[in-house]
Amino acid sequence: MGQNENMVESREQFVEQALSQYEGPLIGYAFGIVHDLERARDVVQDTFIRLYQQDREKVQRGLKTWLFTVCRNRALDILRKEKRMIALEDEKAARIEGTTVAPDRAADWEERVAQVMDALNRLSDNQREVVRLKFQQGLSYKEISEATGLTSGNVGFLLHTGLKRLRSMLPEDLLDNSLRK
Amino acid sequence: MKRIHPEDPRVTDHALGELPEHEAAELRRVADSNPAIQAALDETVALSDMIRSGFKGESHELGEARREAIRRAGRRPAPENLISLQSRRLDWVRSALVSAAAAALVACAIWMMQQIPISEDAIADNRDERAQREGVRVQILLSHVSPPRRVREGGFPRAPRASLWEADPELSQELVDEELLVMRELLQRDPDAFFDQVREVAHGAGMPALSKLPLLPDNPFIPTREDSRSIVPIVSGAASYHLVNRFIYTEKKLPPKNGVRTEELINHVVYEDDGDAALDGIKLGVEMVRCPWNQEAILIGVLLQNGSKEPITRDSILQIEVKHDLIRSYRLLGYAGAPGPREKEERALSESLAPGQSNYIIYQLQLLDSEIFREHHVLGRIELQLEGENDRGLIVPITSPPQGWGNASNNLQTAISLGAWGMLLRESPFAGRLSLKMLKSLASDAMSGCGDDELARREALQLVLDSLPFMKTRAPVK
Repeated sequence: MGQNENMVESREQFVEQALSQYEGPLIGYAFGIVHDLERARDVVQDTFIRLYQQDREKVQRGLKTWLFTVCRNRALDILRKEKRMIALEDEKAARIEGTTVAPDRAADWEERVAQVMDALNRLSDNQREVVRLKFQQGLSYKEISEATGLTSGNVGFLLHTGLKRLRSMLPEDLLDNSLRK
Repeated sequence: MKRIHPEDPRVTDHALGELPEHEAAELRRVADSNPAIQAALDETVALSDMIRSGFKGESHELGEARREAIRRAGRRPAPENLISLQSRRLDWVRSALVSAAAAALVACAIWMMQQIPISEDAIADNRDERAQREGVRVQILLSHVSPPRRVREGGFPRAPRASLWEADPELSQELVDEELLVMRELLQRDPDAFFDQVREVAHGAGMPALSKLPLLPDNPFIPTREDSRSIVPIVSGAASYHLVNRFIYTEKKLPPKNGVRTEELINHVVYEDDGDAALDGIKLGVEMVRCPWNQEAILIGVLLQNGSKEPITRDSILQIEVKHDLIRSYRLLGYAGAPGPREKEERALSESLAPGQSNYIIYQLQLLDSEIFREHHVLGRIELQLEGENDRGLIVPITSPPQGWGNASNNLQTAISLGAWGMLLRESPFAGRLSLKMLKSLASDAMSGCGDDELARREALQLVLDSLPFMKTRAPVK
């Protein structure tokens, strides 16, 4: 096997690994920006094609941040080119409404998590974005700052206000139950 | 450590493992003796666990067809990868063509004919893109473009001031962002190489080295007996803000005094309000406050917003006129090295305020009568005469008494904080009793009044606060 073939193979393995690890989270992240699942998949597909074009050595170390940055830029570019806002679809709004559980109902863990995730959808775009990067990807404030262009201070502020707003949207006993779990 | 309360952002920082260790230890100690703080911590941790759990349950997949498209694109030469999305959508055509053997030859001939113009286009496109990238890079290095902006709630990123897209509407945000990423990576990896590039580009643009720029003098106080009327600038840039930002956050030192332009720090932020007078989308407003660094003076903030579809340009003139029996003298903050009244008028005529833009101007007024702090007086007026419309324009009176700092709008607090910051960075002789402690207090007040979505404003005020340690041990670059 020639050197070029070896390089192609290792590059393919590198991208495959990245695909299996980040495909889902990136689609979720892009969806949060473009609000359309097919478009989000387009964005992520293009992100990985771009990964193929990169010098592996350069992106390997900060791969996660690189992927989220490129994915974000692609998603924003789509929004800019289309020059239109995509509102939450009725279907999604109905889903949010439909899965809300009455406060007095004894909810199990999954139901309570579903309530939290539905409330999450009602945060502002920028709050939701940093929450996803923090809790889904475990990025630090500094890494989120690199991916989004926000200062670390603003990342912390958005997370603080986002979590505070989430708490205000949830039934009072929801977190009490979690603490007792 | 300042007193901690359950709503303190540091509680969230700690729960998320982002608080520096010395502060975390202190917070743990406080939480041990304060059940409310401990409860807030526990709640944040519990909520965090639930969110993580929720994200784990999320399942999104690209699908095998898309994965295969990625792999195919990876095997092709790079330029083809760029059109992979289009080719994916045409995949179904390919099998039809293969099965139609008779059409294959024709398709091949068509393909060959198409190659000639496509190839030329591709070369031209590549050349255009290279030129675009070169242009973008020059703009980035010379700080005429803002870093990528966040999407505003439900909206689009705000275009940078002096937008690149005004010059080239076809320019892709993606291309700008990619160049920013490349430059950022270079800056982090090899700062010397980055600044070599800056110097090279500045030299190529015919700009003198920063250290060789003369320090333009601040505008002096103009006695009203000599001239009670003055042209007010209607535009300013924002490049100086990016320069200061780069020095503080990247070079970890103060920028050279001659690189700081106070009006560009003030107008990095976009200001919006209802105005005191409006005409066809153009709004003019005036707000007054007692000067924090000189209790015998007042500051007035003038906000001009162009919400019309046309630029405010050419013959449009914005001017301030103050009464010489009430005001001893007045001074424009920023716009250092501004020309004399006549030249000033000529310069004002040559510039324009684009649609959607605003300009915030601050004047310091020295009073003749302290009664002005308590009683109602008309101290003067701000007047906008629109181009070619002699009988149309906006006039807003400047009336006392000034309000206290705490009652000032967030626009005025922010503009004054940024203006005061510029004066200290420039070591202005007109700073009076303005100190770092006072600046910290002003900027903190403005920060606390910022809305959650005013991120650019928050970032600017945070930069003011973050620059204070450098100003304490003042060591500007030479």
